[in-house]
Amino acid sequence: MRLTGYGVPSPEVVHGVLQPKFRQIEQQCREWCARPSRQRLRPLVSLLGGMAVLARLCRQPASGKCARRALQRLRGNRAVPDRTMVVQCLVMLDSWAGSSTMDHHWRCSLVPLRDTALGALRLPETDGSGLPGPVLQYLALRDCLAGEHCPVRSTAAACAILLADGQKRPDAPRRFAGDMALALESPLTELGAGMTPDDRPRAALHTLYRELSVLIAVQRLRCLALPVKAVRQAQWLILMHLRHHPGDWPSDSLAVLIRHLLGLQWWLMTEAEGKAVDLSPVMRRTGRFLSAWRQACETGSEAVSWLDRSAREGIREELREELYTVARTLPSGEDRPVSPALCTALARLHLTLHCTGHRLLAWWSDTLQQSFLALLQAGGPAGPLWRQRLLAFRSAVLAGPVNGAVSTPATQQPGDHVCALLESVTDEAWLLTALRRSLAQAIAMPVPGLADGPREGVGEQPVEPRQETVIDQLSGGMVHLPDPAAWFDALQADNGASGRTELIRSVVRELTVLEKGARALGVSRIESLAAVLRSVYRQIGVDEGREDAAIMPDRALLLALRRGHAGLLHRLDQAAAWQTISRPQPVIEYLYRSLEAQQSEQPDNALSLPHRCLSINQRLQALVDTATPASVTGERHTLMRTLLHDQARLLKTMAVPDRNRSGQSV
Amino acid sequence: MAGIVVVDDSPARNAVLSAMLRAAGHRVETAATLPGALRQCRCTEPALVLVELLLRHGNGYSLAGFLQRRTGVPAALMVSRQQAAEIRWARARGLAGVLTRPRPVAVMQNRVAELLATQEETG
Repeated sequence: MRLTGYGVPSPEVVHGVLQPKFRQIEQQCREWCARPSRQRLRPLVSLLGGMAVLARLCRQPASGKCARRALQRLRGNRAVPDRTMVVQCLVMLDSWAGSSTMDHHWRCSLVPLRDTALGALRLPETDGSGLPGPVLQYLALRDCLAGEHCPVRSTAAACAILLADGQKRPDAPRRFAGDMALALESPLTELGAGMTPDDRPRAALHTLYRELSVLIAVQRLRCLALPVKAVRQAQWLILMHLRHHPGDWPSDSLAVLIRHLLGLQWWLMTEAEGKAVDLSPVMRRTGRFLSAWRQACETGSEAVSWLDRSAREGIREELREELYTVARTLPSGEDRPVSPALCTALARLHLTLHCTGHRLLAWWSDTLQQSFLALLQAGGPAGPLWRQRLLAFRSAVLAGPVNGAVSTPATQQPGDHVCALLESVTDEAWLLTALRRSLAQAIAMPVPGLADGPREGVGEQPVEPRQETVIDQLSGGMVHLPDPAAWFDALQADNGASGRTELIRSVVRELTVLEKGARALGVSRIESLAAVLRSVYRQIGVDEGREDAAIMPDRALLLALRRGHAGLLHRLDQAAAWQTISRPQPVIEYLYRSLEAQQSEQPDNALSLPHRCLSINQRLQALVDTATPASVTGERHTLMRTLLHDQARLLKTMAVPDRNRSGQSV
Repeated sequence: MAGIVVVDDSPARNAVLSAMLRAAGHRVETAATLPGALRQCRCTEPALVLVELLLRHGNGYSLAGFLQRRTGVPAALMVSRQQAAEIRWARARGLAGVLTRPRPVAVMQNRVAELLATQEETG
């Protein structure tokens, strides 16, 4: 018995022909285990994974087990240089072998279609037209797929993938994949066009799943035309996410994702008619992004590390590099697509906002502006035709609010497609405004409502009045605090006692203003540090209302103050740059310990934990003693809370050894 | 023409701004980190350092202030959305100025020339 045709092999064929092949691969695996080689691992794992999937599709559990056993042996072999790939493959197989809706759908729809497809594929080697057998077979399958009411499109697509995968000639998969996807394209585009924001809540998820399975199949076909393995991996990740968290996936995100994938396909489709454009770097980046996105969705926290960074940082960096890659890899010359950059960037903006909130907007719009600037600069990749298309895009997107669904006809322009993406963010008016302004500014065209193109102040983004006040308040009226080095130099210069006292008083005044402003604006970390610095000055005898104070702090305390002011300045810089303000506790602790060490003449590090706890308690008592009942709730509240927090932490630390000790004694 | 060091950890932005400044005849060096910026300042003795506000690690105010204090070269801040508060804080920190981008090439070049002229006058 021999393998005839290039379609899905029948069980008999698998049993008779592929079984020895499987054993041969297993033998290769054993040989590889005896002499491990990093270079040959990837093809081997791919072969084993493919074998397991094929065996499952063809209902050959023995062959599947054979492949799994081989993979498990690889995983258990400590000599294997990179077992991560093997583990990933096994995870993928496990997820494939589960009984989720997706898998059930695929398995159920496979059986009738396999017969249909095989019936179509069982054609003679030649029909007298001179065409080779595989071409005739793929033409038959394409006709089958192009039927208006093909009930099992997903399985047909799966068969098409297998057919294309089985081609030995390198040019055949590309042609097959393009044509197969072309046959499936028209029913798929209805999904993106027909879905409006109002319809989305009503859209049943199972419909989306079914369409997504077709979509992913088509995407895989596209990937065959471009050797991009990462995209396949990304889609497996999507599938796995759907399998494990079917209820958590918001339908609108899924719609956006589908549109995003459709966008990529649309461009590949367009270019397939003419010159092929290699978008593989963009798509590879997409795969990496999706994996990061999935991870962030699952963890749901910015504190979780990802590649030694926080998830937020990782995604931010990924996006930066991604847009850079998009801009860099676009082919030069005239009439080349700029639109992929627009589509991917806009779609990904929505995804990013879904997982990381709105904080990235400023950075994102800035990066997009830069990308556009690079794309549209004189002599850049955007030729005259694409400038015209961008004009259409501008008139479509920037002309006014986008209402309702945007149709996506077969003759759609890039602008329409971007409109369809933007339509999904219509509920975020601020975002649209920001996008319009940044896009308009980057493209350097007049915008309705903004006079005659870019000018001074056009790029200003709307900010909340409260945020604006924070920066104003923190930056207003300060002379010494923003430049502590100069201030300390002036302090140490020989200005006389009165000069020094006046200098310190002016700093205390600035600290008072800052403390009050920070309290009013709820910036507690800056408020605490300013309050402690002020209390240090008060304890060494310098205060606003006291005329007799002329104490020059000693060298150790001066160093502590210098460090405290540097810490405060660092946090003010962070506030001014819209970054997360660092915890002030280390600086506060250092300042207090320096002050207490000076007063008690005891070395800092001589304090044990109970003593530190006691000193914090004493600080609290001092604060309570010096404050009136009304101001305890207001002025000192944040500082007391900080101190109490430290004290509680120390008490917990002290309690743990005690508990261990009591546990041992029991 | 003057030497300028651009400090930004985004290669794309670095490339765009460098091209823009070179087109105006300036000698431009780029750096992505603080050590790199220090090295460039020592080697090339620039007339101006342009520092991006939103850096991946740290922020532009601190970096620009440190560079200015350590090397004596005036440092200006590059921001994507200029606000009065940002200008005020940059001025309070003693920085040379604030540059908003992206702008049309001519506007940005004029602004850089303006900053350089101001530094020459004060220096």
